[in-house]
Amino acid sequence: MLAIKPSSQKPEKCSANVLPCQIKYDGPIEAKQRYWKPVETHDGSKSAYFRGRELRGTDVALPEGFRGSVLQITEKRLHPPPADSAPDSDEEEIPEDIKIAEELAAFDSVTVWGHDSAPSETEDAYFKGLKEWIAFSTAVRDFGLCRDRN
Amino acid sequence: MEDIPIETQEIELETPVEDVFMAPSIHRPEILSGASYSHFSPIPKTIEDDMTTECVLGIDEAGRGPVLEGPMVYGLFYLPLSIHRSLLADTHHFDDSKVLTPAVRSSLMEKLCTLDSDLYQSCGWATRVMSARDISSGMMKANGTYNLNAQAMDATIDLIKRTMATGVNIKEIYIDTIGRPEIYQKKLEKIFPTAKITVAKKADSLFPCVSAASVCAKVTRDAALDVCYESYSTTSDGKDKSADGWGSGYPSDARCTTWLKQNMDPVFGWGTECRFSWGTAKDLLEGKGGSAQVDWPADDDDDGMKMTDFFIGSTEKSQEGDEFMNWYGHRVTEKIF
Repeated sequence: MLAIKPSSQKPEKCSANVLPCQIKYDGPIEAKQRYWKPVETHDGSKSAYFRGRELRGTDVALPEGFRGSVLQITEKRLHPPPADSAPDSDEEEIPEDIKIAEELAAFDSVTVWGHDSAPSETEDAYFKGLKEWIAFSTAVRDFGLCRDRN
Repeated sequence: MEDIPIETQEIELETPVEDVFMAPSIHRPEILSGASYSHFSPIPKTIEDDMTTECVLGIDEAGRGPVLEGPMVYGLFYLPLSIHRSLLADTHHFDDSKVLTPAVRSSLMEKLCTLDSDLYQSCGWATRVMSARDISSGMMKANGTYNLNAQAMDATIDLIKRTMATGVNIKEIYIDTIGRPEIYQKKLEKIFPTAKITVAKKADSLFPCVSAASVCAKVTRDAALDVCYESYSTTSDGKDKSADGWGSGYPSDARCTTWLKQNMDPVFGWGTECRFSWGTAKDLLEGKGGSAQVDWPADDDDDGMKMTDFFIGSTEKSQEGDEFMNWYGHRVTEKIF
């Protein structure tokens, strides 16, 4: 399990992008304007270039009440193990080991990119994933709220 | 695409001079943003005074070879038929390519752009700057390649069409060939039935107007490369900018490949001035230079799902990733595309 710890100060705003390729790299990079400069096109989609290819993107806004976070999992625990633990007392409930994930940055929309054409709202796996997941989780939450009220 | 090495002597001729003339065909914002654009000179006074003047038109290119850096430029040049050879060949020696060193080209271009010069009074010209960004993205299109020859022909045809649309009376057209001359000539004759068209190999050494068009193209490309490079030499990231710059932009020019190696971003590669579509650039990115590997969905593989993908553990070695990565389900592989 993980626990999300909101950052103490206002998290840095970032823009999230889903690219139509797999980049075998994990870590921070500097996205200089020289390399990555999305611009609006006349048809309302976005255009940017990556490694010589043209990408077209569409913004998917997170709905009201949702928040996108960039998290980093730390080695910190929500319940630090007690200093003098009694290993043989298995009757006692051991608190679950929960790591803390710290919020590095926040975003309120995701740009989904396709090679040469913007991804289709009805066909693209990521586009659908974002929309359907949000719709689904909203339904679950709303159901929970209804039940709690009754 | 394979890179064809060029001769050392040719590198000399392709290397821009320092302080190359900045012609009006240099549009800085477009060049810096990586966009393609066209530039047209005003109609020269001699022709404007009598628009029925019969004119000859030449077309040539610069940077169509396997260059890594900078735009490919198409140049168009026209003037009254009656002074074609006398003004260009006899007075200004536009016919001898050996004389046309980068420095001479630059000064001829300057003359052409100077008010009251004989060239300015009688000659009109235009350029199409086809950016490295647009060439690359055309060649690496998702649904089949928009190859360099097709891009070059479209640029040529567009330049001629737009020049004719100004009302200039073009009687003869001379042009260096793309592919086989007969086929290209037939194609152009269909599009421009009112002009006598001559497509030939090495047209720049045969026809002065093609030689002049070549000068417009080359000087514009040289200056455009300069503008691209300025943006690197003036950045304040503390890196030592080698005095050599990137040379001619040709892969057999050590300055160019050295520059590419030293200035490769591990994720992005290079900026919009680089032609990613050429073999040398691809090899550098996919080689051991320390750049991240990037996989694109295979073009022929439109439905990469295999039946076995539905069985957990059949293809996946193990469910890699930590708890958080699997929070919303498992990572999708590139097969999803």
